[in-house]
Amino acid sequence: MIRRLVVVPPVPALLPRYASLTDPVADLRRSATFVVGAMTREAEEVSIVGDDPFAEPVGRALLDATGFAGRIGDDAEVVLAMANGSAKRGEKAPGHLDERAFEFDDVVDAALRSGDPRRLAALDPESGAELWASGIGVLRDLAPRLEGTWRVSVPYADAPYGVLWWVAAWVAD
Amino acid sequence: MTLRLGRHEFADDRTLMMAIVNRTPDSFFDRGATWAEDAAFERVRQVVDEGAEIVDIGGIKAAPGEEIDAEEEKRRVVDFVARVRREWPQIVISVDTWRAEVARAVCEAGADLINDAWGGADPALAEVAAEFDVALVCTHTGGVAPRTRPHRIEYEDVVAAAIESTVTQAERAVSLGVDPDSILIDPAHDFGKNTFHSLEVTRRLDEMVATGWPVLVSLSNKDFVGESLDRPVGERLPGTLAATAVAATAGARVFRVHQVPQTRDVVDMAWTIAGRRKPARAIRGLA
Repeated sequence: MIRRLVVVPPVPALLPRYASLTDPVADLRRSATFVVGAMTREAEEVSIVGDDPFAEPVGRALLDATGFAGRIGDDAEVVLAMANGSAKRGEKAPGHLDERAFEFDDVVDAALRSGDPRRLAALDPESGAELWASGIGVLRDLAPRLEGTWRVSVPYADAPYGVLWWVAAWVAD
Repeated sequence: MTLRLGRHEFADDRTLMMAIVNRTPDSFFDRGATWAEDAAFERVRQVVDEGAEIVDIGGIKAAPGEEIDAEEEKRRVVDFVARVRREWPQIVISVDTWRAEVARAVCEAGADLINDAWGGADPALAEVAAEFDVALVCTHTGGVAPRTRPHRIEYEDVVAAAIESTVTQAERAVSLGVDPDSILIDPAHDFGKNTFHSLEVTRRLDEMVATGWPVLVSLSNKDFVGESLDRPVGERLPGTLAATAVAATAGARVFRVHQVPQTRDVVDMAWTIAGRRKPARAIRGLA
């Protein structure tokens, strides 16, 4: 059973090999590193789940950045869910503008802030795929493993480049 | 290896712009534009604003011409060095001179680096660098006397000659007490070299870099660019920048230039392509 869930976006710019002189994702990196560090510090094992080719490497990079010394395996009690909202939130967004993106992201945002696993279970991965979101099906599929009540914090929610990113922490009561 | 230039230190992933400041009435590129002291001072202000890390102050043009004795050379550069030192403590001051007597005077006035463009013509120059703990540029001129043009000079292997000469001078300087972190080597394009020699030195610059001594190149608007493209002085910037890109890719560290911003961009781009410098800010496709 999952005891701690961290939602962070699989943003390739977080990888060391894609570092710039001036970090274009400094705020996201700061928040994601802080939350991942706080949520995994005591863990012996962490799982990384996602449906994007960057999910696993970005998850590992964030763990490395926090000095995580445990194992990465399946079915751990601490999970990094690599997910983000639509990448179609503007004319300069990676997927250009799709007006449906905002309503879709609002639904995901509300679910992430609710602490209610049933809201995650109700997310719509098909719309997510159409709107270039990532990890929506993964969040939905985690819901059955999130029993009980949860304390939630969402220290980061922003779309500086047309993709909605969250850093969210769920801790089982 | 950290590069130490007098009061200043630079990490080994840094490239440096050395801006030319002529206190001469007759240098080939600016034709006396900064002969007046205030004009030269404004030139320093401009290149500092443009981001140059080093100014290279010279009182004698490289080409043959009116004889300038040491007294006149000192009149042109010593007080000027002191004035630049007071106004810009953060800039590296280099002085382009082959004379130990002049080097001593400018070191007392605050110079950080002696650019011995004539290949050790005055053997006492390195001793002055050691005495004042300043940096030294060791150049290859093929043995010609200062301010003489190359005439029917030939080399069995110009690059091997340049390496042999500059490394020998560098090692001699170390033996005299110059800090090994304060020595640069320069193949000296067009000094004791025809255009074919300068082109070969450019093409094979990686061999000089492989010596481990940091390499300075002085390519700016020179005749090997002009003869390669059939362009007069004033129309050599694109050719200069192409040669700069090749030298930067090979790993040259210091670039002696007239045009600072353009050279800075070319060097940064070449080093970024080579993987020695990160992009300034890359997010396209990575969000």
